[in-house]
Amino acid sequence: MNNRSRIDDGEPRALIEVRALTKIYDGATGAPPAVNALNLKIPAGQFAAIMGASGSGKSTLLYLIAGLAKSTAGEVLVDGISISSLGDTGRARMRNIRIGFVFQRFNLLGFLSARDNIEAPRLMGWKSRSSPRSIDSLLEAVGLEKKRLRRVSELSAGEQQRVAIARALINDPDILLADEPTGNLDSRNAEAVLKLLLRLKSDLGLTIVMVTHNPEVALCADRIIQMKDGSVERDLMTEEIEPSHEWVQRLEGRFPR
Amino acid sequence: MLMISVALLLGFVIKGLSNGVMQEKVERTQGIGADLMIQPPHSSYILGLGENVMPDGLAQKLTEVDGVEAATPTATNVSFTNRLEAIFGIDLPSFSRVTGGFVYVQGGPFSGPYTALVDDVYTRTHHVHLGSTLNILDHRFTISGVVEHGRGARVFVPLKTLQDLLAPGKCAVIFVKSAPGSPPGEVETRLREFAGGALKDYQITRMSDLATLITPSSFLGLRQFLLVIIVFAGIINFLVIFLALYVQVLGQTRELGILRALGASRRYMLRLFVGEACLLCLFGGGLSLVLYLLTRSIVLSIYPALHFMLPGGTVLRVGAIALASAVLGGAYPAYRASACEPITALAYE
Repeated sequence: MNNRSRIDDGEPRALIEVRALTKIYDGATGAPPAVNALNLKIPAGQFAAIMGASGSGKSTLLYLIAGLAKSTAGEVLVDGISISSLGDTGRARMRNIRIGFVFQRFNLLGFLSARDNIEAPRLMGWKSRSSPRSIDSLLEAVGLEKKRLRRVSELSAGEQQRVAIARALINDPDILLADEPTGNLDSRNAEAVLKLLLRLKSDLGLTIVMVTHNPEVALCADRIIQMKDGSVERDLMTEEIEPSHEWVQRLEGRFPR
Repeated sequence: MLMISVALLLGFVIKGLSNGVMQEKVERTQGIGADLMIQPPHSSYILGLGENVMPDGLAQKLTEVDGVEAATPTATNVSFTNRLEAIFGIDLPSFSRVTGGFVYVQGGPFSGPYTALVDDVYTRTHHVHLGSTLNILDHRFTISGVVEHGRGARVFVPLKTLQDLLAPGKCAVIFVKSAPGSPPGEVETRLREFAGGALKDYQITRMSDLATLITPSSFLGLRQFLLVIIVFAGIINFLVIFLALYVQVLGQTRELGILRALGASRRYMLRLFVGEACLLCLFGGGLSLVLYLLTRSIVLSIYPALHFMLPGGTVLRVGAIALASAVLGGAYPAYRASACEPITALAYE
């Protein structure tokens, strides 16, 4: 679980490595690639925020890392395993065991209870149903133990997103990918979800890659990767950002660092 | 699920009814108590459908054969008045020697040439009683006795009367009872050798073999009809499952995408849908058996003379056909579900 070990030369081990990754969507002849020969390394235990304008390729990058989409060229390595070269079964297994995914629109199964939604990934047969992480402990971690049997369609947006986060963690993944997890939430719920992600990162040692439009949310991460036209435009550690930067000014006192 | 059960119910009821009617026919014919029956060449095993072309005097001659205890000539006719019904023209003394005699529920033996005996089931289904009249071959017969059922036919009239109306001196079947200690097989051999092989072209049937002889094949086209019904039920089952699951694939594309995104492989999706098809079929099949029992009790309360018989083998065979059609019906939706790409499906509104 804890992949935050450092290799001997002091460089943190890259849990996610993206090599010359290119994605051109089918039927988009002549259109620029959604992701264009992108290279990236994300060490284990890092919380990276990916920012960029709409159409900059940040969500596509996340889908490629998760194995939800197939790259046109290049490859994604998760813990040294090339997702791009895996078949459907291999990618499904990787998504189920190694990677948790949180969507902007939650993507819960509305007709099931919170508990059943959280349990769903465990029923795919990739991991033993008696895995150490219990559904109840996850419900407690996201503060929904009293609403465990409620249908998710009856929960608030913030609660639904917390169910989605718990679901992403049920199989004890190394990596949590979040596609604008606060994008559909009001500021109070957005703050609660962000705090939850930060707590999970520190408690579980998760590697988190989060797509966001919101610079305030991005500033809570360890690292901000700014994308433009499918490539990395700017890549900087948040601790290196000057206090006089306008993002920091706006953030003052509102979100935990 | 209800549609599946109705389709299977159709197969179960028709198969159960045809089996039951035939089995009841066998039991009723075997209930005569004879060991062998002799019919003219190419006769049907279904009594009442044969022609009255054998001389009735032959029965008396057959009693001289070693091992024959009794023989009785019987003329037969099928009445189409109200309901299809076989009528036996019997010589009561010899018929009683073969059968051991009727058990009278009401009344007694024939009291005249135009009197009839009916069994207790007939009185219930036709709402007649002692003294009622029956119209047989445009003649009125008065019921002189009501007997317990299970002696071949439900309506009996004097042999001579029926012969006079149909074919004087002729009968359609001779029932033979073998003497104690004489195996029917040996008696059959002696009958075939009787009078220098005079009966060699006749049908001599052991009553114990009737169950294997009276089958759907005995009725022209019945086997094919049953096959068509079962195939029809299978096609309905296929269509219902196909449409139900296909609509589900189209209507829940997003949910399928969620499952795929959570790590469901294509094989898992295939298993999920084919499994659902099989479950639908199994629950539908279970419900159809419950509906079958319900239908049977309703039909029997209206038509007590009918019989149903649904052997376990038939249930398993129909179940296997239904399951196969369910798997086929679920195959394409399962393929569509497994082929859905997570991102495309998640973008589906």
